[in-house]
Amino acid sequence: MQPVTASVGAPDLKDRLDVLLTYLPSFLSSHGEIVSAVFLLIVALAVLLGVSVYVCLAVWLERKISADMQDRLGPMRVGWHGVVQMLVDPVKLALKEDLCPGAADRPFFMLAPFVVLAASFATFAVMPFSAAFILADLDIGVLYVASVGAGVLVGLVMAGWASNNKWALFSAIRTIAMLVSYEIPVGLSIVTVVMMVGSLSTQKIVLAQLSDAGMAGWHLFRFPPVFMVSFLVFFIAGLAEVNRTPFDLAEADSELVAGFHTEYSGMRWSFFFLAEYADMLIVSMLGTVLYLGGWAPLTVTRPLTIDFWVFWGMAALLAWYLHWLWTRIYLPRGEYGLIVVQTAILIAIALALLVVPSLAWFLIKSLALIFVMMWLRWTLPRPRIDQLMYLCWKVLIPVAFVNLFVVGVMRLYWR
Amino acid sequence: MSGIVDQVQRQKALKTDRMTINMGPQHPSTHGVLRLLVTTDGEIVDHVEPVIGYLHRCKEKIAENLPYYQFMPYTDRLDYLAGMNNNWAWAMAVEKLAGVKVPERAEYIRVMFGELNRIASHLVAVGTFGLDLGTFTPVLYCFHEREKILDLFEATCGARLTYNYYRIGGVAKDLPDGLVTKIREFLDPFEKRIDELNTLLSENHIFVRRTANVGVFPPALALDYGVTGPSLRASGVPHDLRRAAPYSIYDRFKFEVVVGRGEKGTVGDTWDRYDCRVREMSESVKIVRQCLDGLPDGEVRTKLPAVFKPPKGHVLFKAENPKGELGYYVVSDGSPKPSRVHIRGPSFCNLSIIPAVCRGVMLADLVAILGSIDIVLGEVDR
Amino acid sequence: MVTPREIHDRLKAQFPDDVGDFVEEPVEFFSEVKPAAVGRVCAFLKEDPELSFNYLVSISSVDLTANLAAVYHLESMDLESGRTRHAFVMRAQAPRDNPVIASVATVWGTAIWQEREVYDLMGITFEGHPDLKRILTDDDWVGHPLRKDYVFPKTYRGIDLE
Repeated sequence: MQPVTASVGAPDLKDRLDVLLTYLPSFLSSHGEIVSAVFLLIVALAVLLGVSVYVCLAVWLERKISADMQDRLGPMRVGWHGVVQMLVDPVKLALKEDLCPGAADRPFFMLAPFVVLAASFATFAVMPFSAAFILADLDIGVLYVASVGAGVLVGLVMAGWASNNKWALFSAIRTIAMLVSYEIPVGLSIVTVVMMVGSLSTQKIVLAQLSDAGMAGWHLFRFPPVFMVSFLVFFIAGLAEVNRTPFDLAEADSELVAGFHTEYSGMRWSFFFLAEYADMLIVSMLGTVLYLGGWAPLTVTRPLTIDFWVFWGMAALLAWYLHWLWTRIYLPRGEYGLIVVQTAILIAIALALLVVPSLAWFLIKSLALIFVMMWLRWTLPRPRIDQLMYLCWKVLIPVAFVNLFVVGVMRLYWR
Repeated sequence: MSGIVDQVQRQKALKTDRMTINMGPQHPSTHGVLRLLVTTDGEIVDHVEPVIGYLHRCKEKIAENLPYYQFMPYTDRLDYLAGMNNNWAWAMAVEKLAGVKVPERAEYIRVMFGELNRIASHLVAVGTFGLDLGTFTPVLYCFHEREKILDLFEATCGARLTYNYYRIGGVAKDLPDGLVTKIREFLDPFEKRIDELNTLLSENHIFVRRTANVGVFPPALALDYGVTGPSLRASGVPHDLRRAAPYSIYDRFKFEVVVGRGEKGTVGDTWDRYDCRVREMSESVKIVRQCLDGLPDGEVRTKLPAVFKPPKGHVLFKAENPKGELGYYVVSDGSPKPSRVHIRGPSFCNLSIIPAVCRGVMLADLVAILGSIDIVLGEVDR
Repeated sequence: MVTPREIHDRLKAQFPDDVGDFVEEPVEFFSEVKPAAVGRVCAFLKEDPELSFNYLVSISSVDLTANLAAVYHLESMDLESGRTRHAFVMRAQAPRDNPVIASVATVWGTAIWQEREVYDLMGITFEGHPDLKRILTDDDWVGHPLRKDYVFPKTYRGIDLE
């Protein structure tokens, strides 16, 4: 009797793989929750990475855009027009010493940046990046964003209090007053959209804006001017929510040195930075979802119909207007090359319009809103804290309430 | 019901206290090493006590140990944003004491550079004031223009900040070739830049809300605290030494004394102080143009002995600097070195009004008021 | 327009014991005033409707070896037209070993800081000043630098100054 071959006795790698491939599908199909968990983990990491990359990009963009508005060059040394700067900056921050003041409340001081970061990153879970790409299509999606996003406040107050620095304390007090107040107009404007759609799910809100009419189906352009007002209230209050100039009173550098992050350095400081830019993206994305059709392309089904040309007519007008504004405010040196560049960009966008997928649309719209935020930052001075409160309680909230009432009446009679 | 009563009781029992906070000497908007000891009730400022002297070099003692000529470079370091004007005031003080005549061409050159430096100083004041209010862009626009003025100075005397260009009896040397054309090239587009600044900052709604009716200096109070220059004129007092007591050749030029009009709020508020500086730049442009038109040929410096001994006596000479009235009180005992020099720094006097006007304002207003006074710590601390 | 000589004569009539000579030096004329009387003389100069010296330009201190002096430059300004109506200079001398001059801090606000500066650098004590302390040098600085016999310290808080 011939001795059995080795392959029979001990199963080699190939056999093991065979076994795995034979049984895994049935195992996974009977334990679907594991698949989705692993898949979600991978996607969540991808989003985390994506947001971090976006922050690096946004910082570079902010520096370049501000430089352009201020008649200077901005970063030019590291790579082409300083592009590599966005890689070098995080490295520099990571290498810096992590300081903690002796008199600070150490555990809370150390924890605060992570609370802020976690709260702002968690909100990306319900962002509908495209028709299929959404981490968790919760039925309470919008409510989730509003409530989890408020966790940022906790982190900021923690940082301000634990620093044991009077400027940081001022900042913490301002943060509480400001963020709590501005939650109200944001919430009220979100409710107008929710009432119109009849759902809190972010994906359903986007789907409700899809139509053959393209842009005309977006909430922003429906029943003008009701949702335009709603969008304006949302955007202004959103700016205050994310602590951006002109509403950056919590970190007002000319008054409070640096506010709650006065005592932070290195990586921990950069977490606040990361969270601020992530928050900007959240507000922009939420604005896009609620009012600008989310991932919906500008023209939904028939790219070359009349509304396509109407849109481009509008876009050209807008570009001309922006350029006029630009020359008036930012580039009085009369650089006509800018018009050429703008036209080229418009043509490039026009071509891209026909091919880009919905994910890209979502990002383009959000980044456009972020550009507006940067534009405002480098133009406007900062109001005083009482003026900011006045704006919230005596202007934005009444306007939002009237708007809400109008939408309620509309909802009664039109649907 | 009793719950509410309890709550009110508890609120009454809640201990509240004033907080003392150090603003400076390292703070982004104290314009140097000024320290403000601020007592606040929440965001509201209860009491401010400026603490100065962090940049004290005792220039007055230095002056006693140097010949009259050699003190000139030290004056540059007083108000280091307006070195030309400081040089000029020192030269005129000694000239008045010793009765030195200055050649015609030198007078024109002095007025011209004095006014250009006034524009440069006001540009910094206006730009950094925007910075204090949280807008970053105007300061770079202002520095862009200031850079061009500094280029003109560099072409003339080789320095961009501390010029040491004026001399007792004239100026160090004549203008380089082509500078007159260069100055004209700077002036022509400059007035448009001021309009641009107005659209970006002066008329901005948030800016006006932040500055109008904030930190009003009543004229009598301002004068009581020795506030001079644009800060006094903003309160509606048209006091300008160039017009009130014309020194040098200022009586030959046509220009307007800019006064605060209370256009956006009350006369003498923060907006007016800002606005006065903006409008004063246009007036300085007018004076520089008239200088260029009337610039005569000739010598630029009177020959004086190497060992210069003014006669015994004393004088207080005041000149209208960008920040206010700079005065040199010089006592001569007939030796080559001054027996005593006292410097009346406009920033020093202007700053002293802060405790009187900053009661009950918001913390952010304190920054705005401080920025609108436009101090330079080199002159406050001397 | 009132000349310094006329102002001096008015002061002399008002305060015969406190106001001394009128000194005419080549460039500037000034009146000598007794140190203890500076406060009331200045109050009169400010309150008098005709004189109304509302602007104290500067207080300069001078070391006259035997005495320490404070020189007051005063101006009367018309708030409407911004013109200087008249100007006046007065000097108060106090003995070196006990340099005390009456304060004018309650008369003009600007004197609060200017007198502190004179006190700090020249060591003249102003009687009646609400908060007389050093202003430009440190609180624990020794000596008054502008005096002619001032010796510059070799060290300060352990810092080598040479």
